[in-house]
Amino acid sequence: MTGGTRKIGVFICHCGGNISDVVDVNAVREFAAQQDEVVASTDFRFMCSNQGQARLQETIKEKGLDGVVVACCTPKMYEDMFRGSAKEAGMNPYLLEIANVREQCAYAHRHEPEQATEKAKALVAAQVAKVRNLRPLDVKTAPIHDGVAVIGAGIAGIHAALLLGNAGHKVTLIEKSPTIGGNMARFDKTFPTLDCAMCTLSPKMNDVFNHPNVDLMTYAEVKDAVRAPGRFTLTVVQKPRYVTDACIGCNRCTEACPVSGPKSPIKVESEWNLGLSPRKAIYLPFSQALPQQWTLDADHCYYFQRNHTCGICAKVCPADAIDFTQRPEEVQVEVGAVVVATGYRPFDASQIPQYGFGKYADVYHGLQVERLLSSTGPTNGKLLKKDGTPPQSVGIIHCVGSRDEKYRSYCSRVCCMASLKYAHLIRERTGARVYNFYMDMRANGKGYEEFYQRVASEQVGFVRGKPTRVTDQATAPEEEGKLTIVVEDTLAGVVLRVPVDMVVLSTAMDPEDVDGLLASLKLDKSPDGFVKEYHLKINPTETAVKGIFVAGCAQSPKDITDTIAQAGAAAMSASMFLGSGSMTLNPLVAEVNPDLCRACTRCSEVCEFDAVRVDPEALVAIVDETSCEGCGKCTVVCPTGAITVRQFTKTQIAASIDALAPKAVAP
Amino acid sequence: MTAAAVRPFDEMMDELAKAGASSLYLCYQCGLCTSTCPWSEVRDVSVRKMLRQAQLGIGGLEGDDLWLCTTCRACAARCPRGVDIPTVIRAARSFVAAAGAEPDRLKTVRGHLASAQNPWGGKPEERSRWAEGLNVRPFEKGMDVLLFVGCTAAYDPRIRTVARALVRILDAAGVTFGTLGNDEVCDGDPALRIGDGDLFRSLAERNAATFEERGVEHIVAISPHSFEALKHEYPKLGASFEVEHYTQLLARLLDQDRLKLRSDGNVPVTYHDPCYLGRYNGVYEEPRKVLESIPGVRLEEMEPNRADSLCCGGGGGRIFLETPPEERFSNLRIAQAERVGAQVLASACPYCVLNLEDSSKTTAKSPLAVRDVAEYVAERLA
Repeated sequence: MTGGTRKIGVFICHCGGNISDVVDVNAVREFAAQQDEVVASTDFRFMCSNQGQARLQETIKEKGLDGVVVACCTPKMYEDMFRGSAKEAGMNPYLLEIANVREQCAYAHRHEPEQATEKAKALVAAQVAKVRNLRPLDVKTAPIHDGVAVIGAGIAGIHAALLLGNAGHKVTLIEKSPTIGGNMARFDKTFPTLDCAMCTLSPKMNDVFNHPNVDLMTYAEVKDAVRAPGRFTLTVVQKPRYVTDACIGCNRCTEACPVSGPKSPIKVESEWNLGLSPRKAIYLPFSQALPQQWTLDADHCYYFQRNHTCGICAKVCPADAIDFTQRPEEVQVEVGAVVVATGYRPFDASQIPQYGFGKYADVYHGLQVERLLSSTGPTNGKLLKKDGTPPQSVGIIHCVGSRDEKYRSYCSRVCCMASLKYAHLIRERTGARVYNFYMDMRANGKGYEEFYQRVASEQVGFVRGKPTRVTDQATAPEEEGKLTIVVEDTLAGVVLRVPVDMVVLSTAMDPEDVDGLLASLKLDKSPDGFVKEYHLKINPTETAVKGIFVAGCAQSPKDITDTIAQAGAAAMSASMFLGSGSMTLNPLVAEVNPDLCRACTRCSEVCEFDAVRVDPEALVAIVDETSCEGCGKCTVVCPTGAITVRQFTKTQIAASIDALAPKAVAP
Repeated sequence: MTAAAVRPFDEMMDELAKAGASSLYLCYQCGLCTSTCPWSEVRDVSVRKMLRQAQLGIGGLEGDDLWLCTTCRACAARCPRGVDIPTVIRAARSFVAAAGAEPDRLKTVRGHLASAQNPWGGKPEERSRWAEGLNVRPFEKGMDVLLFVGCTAAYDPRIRTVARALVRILDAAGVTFGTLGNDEVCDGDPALRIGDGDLFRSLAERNAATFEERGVEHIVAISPHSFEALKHEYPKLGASFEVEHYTQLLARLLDQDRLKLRSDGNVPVTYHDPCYLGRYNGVYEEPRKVLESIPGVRLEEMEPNRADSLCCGGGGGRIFLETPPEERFSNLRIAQAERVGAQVLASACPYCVLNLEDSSKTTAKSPLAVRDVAEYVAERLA
């Protein structure tokens, strides 16, 4: 290519040694200076610093640059910032490209500095070639709808909704179960302070319930979401409660309901008490539930299941609040931002059969023990075995499913402290001997180590080792009628058999099953199954989808302290986004040349984002620029080259490739 | 006394890494291996501690305990960090055996394998004596399967009956098969497990060459140890054929209605999962299906079973070593079989049958017949 038409500047960053310790930046700078149309080539210790950006802007102005290549770290980190600087200096920001010479070069080839330098040169040459072929792009903006939806009304969703409501935003808080409160409402006490969980949660539940800016939808699920510039349209299914808001909360229906009675053929277990108690077909999940509106479970109701033979609830209701004719209703909710706060559920302990969950009556998972310890639980807060007697000894097994390649490889982060809490409460209330079977004790929050000390001082047994099994097969008289935990005490180096009356499994945290929701919101999951955040470290509350934020255990396992912190941060991010009033639309998406388009629909068939459709009248493909992710799949299948992704046209890509590999490298 | 300075044994660490044992460094010392290891039922031995010392290169794998491992994989099946403990053991055994420091009895086994191509010391020209009086033909192309007999079924008088039983079953089902006769050599499993990779290779290559020469495409193995070696180790040397365990073939023949079996009254039978069939290859259901197809058989499950099954104590070269009676896993297994009221304890591995029968004779409180699945089926042929 013969030069003279473009003025391109190349800026090589040392990254304080991250790059320059491996790559010979002087050689790259000199090499860049020799490229056609490059009029400025410079290197600097930190291009991301104020000075670095000032130099970029000065050079743009001095030399009248209309193209820039910054050779630095991944574009994920600073591309937006450098483009912003270029824009301030008067250059079209989309004429700037990053050559990633850190992650894709210096980091990858730490031990081959010479070859790394050659590769850095090639990467710079490729981006210079690309920049030569770039054209300036206009940025479109769209106004942002002022409403925000928070999905999930556990502690994360409640906290985020309250903050957003307090900041003056119109909030729709959507909860799929009949009550708000989430898992935290099931807890008895919270570590490390041993506060009563409901005493701290209940005021927040009431605040959000009564908040003038928060519109609460319970027993409602998001079925679908459609994205448009600055706006999400959520289709929310309001499930029928068969109880109208005339309900006065007198409980007569529940008392009269025959379901789960001793002779009833229809029985159903309480989800709230995790299967530890029966419930009626018409019920309030727990006494402080909000709203205080009863719900009828049609799947376990004689009226619905036995051909309208019952209906006693309607007969005893003094408020005439039972309405068997209700049907699911679809409601459209328009918002500008969404906070995903869908929470966690306990790992299914029966996947590890050797621990006997589901096989032995007195093996429980942690959340069940919360209910057993709670004064509103099935035993009114008395820790009792299934036979109604208090345990003399209890074994608590940590890391059940967590930190285990066979199940969940991540640490669930809360179980060490939760297990200490169970140990304390069980000792305090029953005097039972308690053993904690742990691998590493992780007490890394404020007040946590102190809590560990306190529980240790209460003569709780700690055995460092992962048990191999829980068995009822006795090999000694002391084991008769007990559950024996077999484990290597790795600190003493001996195998122990520990007979106990009750076993508590501190199970891993699994993300709540929200695959459908994530698919309709176009959100990704990280390999552990939790919602993928924009950047694990520096941006854990945003997602790859602009306007969608994530809070609490939906993103990763965390305790209440961290959940509150992240929910606050997510609310702040959402508030800032909404407050900005308008959003810039990413111009690096697909566009169609109508002259070349044959309306063959191949592009719309391969698009995973429903971003392309073919107009049947005009016989041309049309791109929805807000939905398009710029992935380029359509450009590959297009038979005529009519559809291209801006700044990734075939000419631009080919120019890069030619620069990367000027000679044929293989026959 | 002051503690000695840490001096990592670099050669051993390098050898372990080269032999594919690097997963050792993932171990976070939870001790699940120790408490899962069947040895923990009968004596003190800490797998965890061995791994701990090996991680730091300060020993741990050179002592006598190294030769206890039956390679049963119970530990690896559970390890939360994915440490391939049997491979670590195998690599360490190679290192120790290369220095000639393995137990004396295993030196003899290596000698037999090298000179007579079987670990028992039987004469190569007598390998096919087990088939005397039966019309067993040499394998030739066009036959349905090659029956890979294995050394124990060829030479051990107790296990020869298993091979003979299988011949009767295959004949009854109309399966055409042949053997390699005296040209079969040890599958190499014992050499591999006791740390002689070169010896394994020479044996495996010899068999593989014979398979190639005779046009063998489909092999049925009597021993799960042969099955595992043929299925997962031979392909690494470039060999290519289909292989299955005989219980898989029998299950298929029953599906095809090619075997007619007579009732055995109402008999409580329990099945012991061989490690190399179960944990190594996931074959749990076929042997049970074969047993249940014998009219009158009532299958009772011992605890533990399937993936959690207790090793008989015979793998990893242990079949050649002496184990004191109070340390025999097979004794525990007999008690477990008696607990479920079994009158027949069936298994499908020569080592298991040998060990269990020994323990049944010495420790069973009431008569408990130990039978290989093939023997049991042959006995009930209509």
